[in-house]
Amino acid sequence: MSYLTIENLNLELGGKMILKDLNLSIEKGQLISLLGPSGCGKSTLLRGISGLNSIKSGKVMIDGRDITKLAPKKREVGMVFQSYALFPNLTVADNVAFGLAMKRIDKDTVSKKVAQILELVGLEDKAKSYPGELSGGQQQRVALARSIVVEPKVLLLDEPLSALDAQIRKQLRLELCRLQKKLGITMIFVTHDQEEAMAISDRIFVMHDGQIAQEGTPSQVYFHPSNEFVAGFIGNYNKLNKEQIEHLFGPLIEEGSTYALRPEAIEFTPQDDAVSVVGQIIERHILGNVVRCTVQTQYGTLWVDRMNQGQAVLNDLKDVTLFIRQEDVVTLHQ
Amino acid sequence: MKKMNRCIITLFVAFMCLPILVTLVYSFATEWGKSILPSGYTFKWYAQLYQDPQFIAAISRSLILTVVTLAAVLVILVPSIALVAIYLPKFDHLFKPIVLLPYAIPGVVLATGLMRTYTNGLVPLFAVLSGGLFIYSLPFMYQSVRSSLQEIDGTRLMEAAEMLGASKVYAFIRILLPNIKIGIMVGSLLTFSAFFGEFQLTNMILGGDFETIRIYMLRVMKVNGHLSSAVVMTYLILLVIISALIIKLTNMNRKRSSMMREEAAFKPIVKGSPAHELLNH
Amino acid sequence: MQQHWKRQAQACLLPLAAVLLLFLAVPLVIMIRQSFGDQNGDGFSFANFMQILSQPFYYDAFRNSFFISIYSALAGLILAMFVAAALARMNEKAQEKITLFINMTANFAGVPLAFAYIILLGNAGILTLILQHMGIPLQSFFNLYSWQGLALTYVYFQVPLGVLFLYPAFKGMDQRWGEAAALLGASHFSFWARIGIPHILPSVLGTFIILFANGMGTYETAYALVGGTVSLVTTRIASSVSGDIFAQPQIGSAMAVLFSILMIAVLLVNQYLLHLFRRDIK
Repeated sequence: MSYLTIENLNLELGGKMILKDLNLSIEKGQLISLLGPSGCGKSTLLRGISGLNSIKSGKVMIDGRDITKLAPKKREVGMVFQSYALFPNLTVADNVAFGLAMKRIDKDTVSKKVAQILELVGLEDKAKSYPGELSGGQQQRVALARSIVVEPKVLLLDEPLSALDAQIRKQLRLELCRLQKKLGITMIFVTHDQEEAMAISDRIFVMHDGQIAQEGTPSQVYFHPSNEFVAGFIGNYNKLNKEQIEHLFGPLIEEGSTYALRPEAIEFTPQDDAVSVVGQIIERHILGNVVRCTVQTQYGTLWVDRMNQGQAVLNDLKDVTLFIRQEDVVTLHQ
Repeated sequence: MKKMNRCIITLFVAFMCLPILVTLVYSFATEWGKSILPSGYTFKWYAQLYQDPQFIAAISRSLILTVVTLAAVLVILVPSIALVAIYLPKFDHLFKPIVLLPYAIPGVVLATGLMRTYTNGLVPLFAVLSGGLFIYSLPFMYQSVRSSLQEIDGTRLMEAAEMLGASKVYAFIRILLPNIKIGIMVGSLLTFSAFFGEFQLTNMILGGDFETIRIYMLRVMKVNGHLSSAVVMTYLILLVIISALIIKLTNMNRKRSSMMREEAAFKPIVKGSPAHELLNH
Repeated sequence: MQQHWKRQAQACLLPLAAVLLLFLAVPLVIMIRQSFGDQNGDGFSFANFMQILSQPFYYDAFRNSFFISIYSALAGLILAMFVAAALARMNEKAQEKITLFINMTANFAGVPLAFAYIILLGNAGILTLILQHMGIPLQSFFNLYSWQGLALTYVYFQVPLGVLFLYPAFKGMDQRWGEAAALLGASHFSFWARIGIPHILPSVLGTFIILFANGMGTYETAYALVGGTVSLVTTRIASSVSGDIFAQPQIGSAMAVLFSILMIAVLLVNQYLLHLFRRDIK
């Protein structure tokens, strides 16, 4: 049963139509990512759901309730901003208590809830500090606590981790994931970092040019990109045209505009049902746990990824034979 | 190199202080006609000054004018600036040039316009003067408040407050205002000094009918230089005290602010102030 | 729903709009209208403007103001450059203190300044007397109550104003630029010619123009020092508008209009020059 439904959403900003006829639906308790490059409309969609940007036409429903025409504070939706937007003149505890104070909840309940949530995010000793005294990661957790404590139906997060260092990002995104699972909050997470999206989401909505290019679980989106844009955005797909594919595998079963091939699917050793392609390694990059080889073949340059086991054997290799299975080729449409 | 820098700065400070020092000495001199140093020293000028009811009256008038106009500026201008900056960005294209217009219009021009419009007495001249001063405070109140708003990302704060259930008015008073307090105070400080020492508009619009401290200063200067010096020193000390007070208040708030906002506090002093204090005197 | 709020927000701007209308827009419009009229505000002609441009009584005012402003701006600018360059090299604390100092001394300009300079350089001034003792009769070539005296007095507030506007540009000259240039093979001279001076030039020009405009608009210092004896645009306009026997308000309005046009032209030139030299500044 869909918890959040968006129907035929059109949103205009500054005279330009940013979101065009958008539809999506989300189940309760899921962590969804809106993934896409800058300018694809993902933040705008988020703000449309929150009510901070007004919609031109369409419908937004949460838990069976039509919230399209409601003011932000009536929507029972929470939002965590990229810049955290903590109130500098209030302590951490007062920041977190803000939403509860707005609901006119009595002081005792408020302190209890605030203490609970601060403990949950690991900041109980910072309750009396001011936002200016905290690190980026800590500020982020306060922003999270502040939005969660009012128990919103849906929590929106607008690139909440982009301002943080890489290490803290990885740490925090796992914490976020755990928190979400523990509390069962429905979350929509906006990011341009595909690794981030794949690491924590239940479903990913890849966005492009104001529309949803593809949606699915991380695996689905990664292993089966449906169009050129997604294949170009997710992972590091090799792209081949129809001629090249037919040359490799004979006449096609599926018609498409381009064909994609994962770099890790190409082998250096013979496989069953694989065609062979000769080539030369022209570049080699060590990306940590992956070695990426750029191989020049008659079909253009292909990337081939291998797990980095410290193989000295790859270092000297120049002329290689690649093995490609037809089942690894993904058909893409426009 | 450092030595030369210090030398230049010292010369500069000396150059600026010389007239002030001379005035100070003059205010304590019994007589200083034709010699390089005064013939004697005394407190009598100050005593005479503080017993002059017209002096007290002049200070009161300056204070009333300043406080009334400043209050109007704070109540009307600050919310307007915040409103345009956060909710009506399209207006900003119009707003900014209008607010900065007084920079381009010399004081005497506006005074002329005001005089020609209101000599018929439709609006009490005190209000006209106040209105003129209001207009002249626009550029740097605007700059102080605006840069403060930008430093704290006022738009985001209001949105966050709204998402958490606050009404716009509540959010403005409880969240926005406390965080732009520094910007407002800096702007007010400059505005206060400018209004308190205003001469041009007052002289043209009301002249002797409303003798503010500077007009009093000029009148006395023509009669008795020693008294006039005493007025000048008193006036300067008053201003220093008030400025120090405001700065102290500002510093007390520093505890809570992050580094960024401390910079914001001083940027307006550098950018916004010179115009008013030094311009059109 | 958002539309409703936008309307409310616009309504909240009404008080400010009223003030702007009453005390800025309307007066200016009326003044412009009257500059084309006669004593009673009727008629429409350029007669007032013609009078200003043809009678020395009026155009002398523009000439005097112009020269005083140019000279004081130049002197102020040159001195300010030295101070600004020195200031930019000092530490943060010193810079803050000096900035505060400048803001404080700014309150001295006007009547106090006029009087202090009378004490210093008047006929029986301290410096005058000292110079006399040293054998230099200041009075024979310098009169404080002339336009030269005014120009000298103006320098007192032009210098600090110049410093405030110039020192950010000097401060913005990152030491690392010099280092980068040196690494790329530039001589000291090359660096200044190609990078240093172009960086500062807009600020220098802009500051000069600000100082000039400031000089033109000065009223209080001039009024206190020379009253009406030296004809200046500001004092001339003021006297023609207030209830003197010689008051001709419509001429005053016309002078004010001319003055405004001059000032706006000056500011536009400033903007143009800025664009010309530094295309990265908007």
